[in-house]
Amino acid sequence: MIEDELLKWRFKCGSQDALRRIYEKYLNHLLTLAMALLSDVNTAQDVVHDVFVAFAKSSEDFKLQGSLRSYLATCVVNRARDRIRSNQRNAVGPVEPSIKESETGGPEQLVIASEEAQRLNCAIGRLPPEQREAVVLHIKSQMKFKEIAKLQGVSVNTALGRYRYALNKLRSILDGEVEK
Amino acid sequence: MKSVDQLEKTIRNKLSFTADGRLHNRILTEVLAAHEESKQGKSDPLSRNIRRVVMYSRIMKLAAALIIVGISVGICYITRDTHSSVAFADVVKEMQQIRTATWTEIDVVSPPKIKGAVQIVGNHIRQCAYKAPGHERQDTTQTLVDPRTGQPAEFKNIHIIDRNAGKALLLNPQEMTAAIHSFDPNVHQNALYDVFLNPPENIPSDAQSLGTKQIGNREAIGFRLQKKTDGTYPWSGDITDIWVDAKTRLLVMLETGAADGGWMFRLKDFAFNQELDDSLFSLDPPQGYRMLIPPPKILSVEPPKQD
Repeated sequence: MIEDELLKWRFKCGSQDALRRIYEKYLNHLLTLAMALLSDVNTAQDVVHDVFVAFAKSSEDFKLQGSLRSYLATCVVNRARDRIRSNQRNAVGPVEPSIKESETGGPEQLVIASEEAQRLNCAIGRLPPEQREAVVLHIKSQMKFKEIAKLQGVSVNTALGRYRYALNKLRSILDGEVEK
Repeated sequence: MKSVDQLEKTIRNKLSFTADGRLHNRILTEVLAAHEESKQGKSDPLSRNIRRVVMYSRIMKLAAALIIVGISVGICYITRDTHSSVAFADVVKEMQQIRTATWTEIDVVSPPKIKGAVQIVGNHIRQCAYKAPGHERQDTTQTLVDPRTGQPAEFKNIHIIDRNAGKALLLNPQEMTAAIHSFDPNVHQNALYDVFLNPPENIPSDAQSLGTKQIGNREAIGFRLQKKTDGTYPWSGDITDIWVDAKTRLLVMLETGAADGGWMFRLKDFAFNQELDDSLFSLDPPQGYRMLIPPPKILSVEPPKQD
């Protein structure tokens, strides 16, 4: 991704235009990722906002050898985990994915998604968090299993296993919906 | 039952959430404000930050251009060089008397569109105003494709800077929201005026004459400045063409861009020393605007961490 390398370099040099382009390029991708991980529109917006604001403030010290897409995705995952942990601490009972189809629209209609996207997101929201991460990071963020394993602190085989379990479970969830 | 491959393909292609224009603009405004605030918060030596400080806004860029012109004139005076030295001298002499200025900026050649990004239709148009000393305003208009409707929709933002007070007001007319951000006024003022009064020696002196041409109904004299390869030339483009009125020696048009033609923007429709109402530069949000609390300070972006 030569374009990303150029953007990284210009961002490092303080270019606001580069920041704007990175934002425009990855906003929807990170929003999709956060929605899949958190199943909540408002929290997903907050996470994406926080990631970009922190990123914007990091230009002076910004050092990145690898993929910008993976880096931003990793930041979203870390913040999403923090949010989930925070919710678990504050919640009385176990935290369940709370997405409803109408939530993606919301009263202000700030996040737009197709019905199929909402249905997929609901199904992904029923997976355990580590399986959710494996699926969306590999399929949507194009991260390698080696990178996912490193992020999750597990072996590559474990990450691969989580991915396979997740897909099988998703198939059964989605097929179950069809049968109904 | 769907195969695994089909399921992967479905997720890849169908699982997508899109921010609409309002959400896009709301977050972008705060991200850009955070970026600017971050840059102002750094206290690096001026010598390291001079380019960044000068590039803070379009007006600073114009000021930098004028400085370059002035320095070039000075050197040309010393060397008793060509015809262009006379024009440069006149330009600087006139420009140093300016109390107010207004102009329009447009993207002549926009950078390439980014796949997957919010689609921008047409050019960014920026209406700029300057009032001495240190008051600046920039009204930006851009047309984006609303991802919900697929139709072009116009979005505006306004940026007002008071360098004496060290404050900047960002207005979002779509959301009717406003945000104030502070910066160290000494950094900017000193950076601007120090450079103006004590121009560094590394500013290029090799302005190339472009001859004359008609711009509108005026005859204009042109000069080309090229960026130094060592990065000491404080201007954003690799090549900057300055066109001044042959009679008044005031700026008529200024174009700057990349050497490979990948992007270029133009400053035009200059008007100087007109009365500009102070309300244009007021840091008080207009009636009906809701003041936003500045985004929370986040010390640094976290590196990827492992659980």
